[in-house]
Amino acid sequence: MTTVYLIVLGMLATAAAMTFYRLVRGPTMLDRAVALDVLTAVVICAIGAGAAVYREYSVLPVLLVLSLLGFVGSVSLARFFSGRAR
Amino acid sequence: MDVAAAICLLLGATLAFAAGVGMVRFPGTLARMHAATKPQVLGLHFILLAMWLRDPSWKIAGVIVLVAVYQVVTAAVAAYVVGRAAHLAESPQDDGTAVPHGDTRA
Repeated sequence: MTTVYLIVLGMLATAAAMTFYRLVRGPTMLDRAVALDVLTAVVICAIGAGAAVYREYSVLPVLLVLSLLGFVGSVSLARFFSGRAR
Repeated sequence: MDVAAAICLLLGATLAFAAGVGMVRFPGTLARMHAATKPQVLGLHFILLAMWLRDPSWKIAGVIVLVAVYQVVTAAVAAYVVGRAAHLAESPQDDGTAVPHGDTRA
C-alpha cells in the first residue's frame, strides 16, 4: 500500500504542477477558473487518497467543504469576469 | 479488498494526471474544460470508492455518497456557467498557449 501511495502522490503532484502552470499562464480569467476547479479536485483526490491509505476518516468533512468551495470559486469567477478580462 | 482499493486509487490518480496533461496541452478554454471534468467526476469517484473499500461501513458510506453527489451536481453547474461565459466572449479555439505549440488542434 505504501508503494501505491507513493505512486499516487507522485501522479497527483505532477497533475497539480501542470494545473498550476495553467493557473499562472491564463490567458483569460475563465482559464484560471477552470484551472482552480481542477486544482481543488486534485487536492480532494490527494486528501482522499491519504485517508484511504491510512484509514484516517476524520478528514471526511474537509472533503465535503472543499467540493463546495471549488464550485463557489469557479462560478463567481465566471460570473464577474465574463471572459473579457485578461 | 486492499488490492481493489489500490487499483481504484491508481485509476483515480491516472485520471487526475490526464487532466493535468490536458491543462497544459489543450489549446482553448472549451477544450480545457473537457479535460477538467476528469478528476472532478470519475477520478474523485474512484478515490472515494477506494476509501470505502478500505473501511466498508455505512457510517463512512453516507458522507462519501454526499461528497460524490455534491461533486457531480456542482461540476455540471460550474461547467455550464464557465462554458456560457466562454461562448459569449467568443473565446478562440486556439489561443496559442498549448505547450508544444503548433498544429495541436483536434
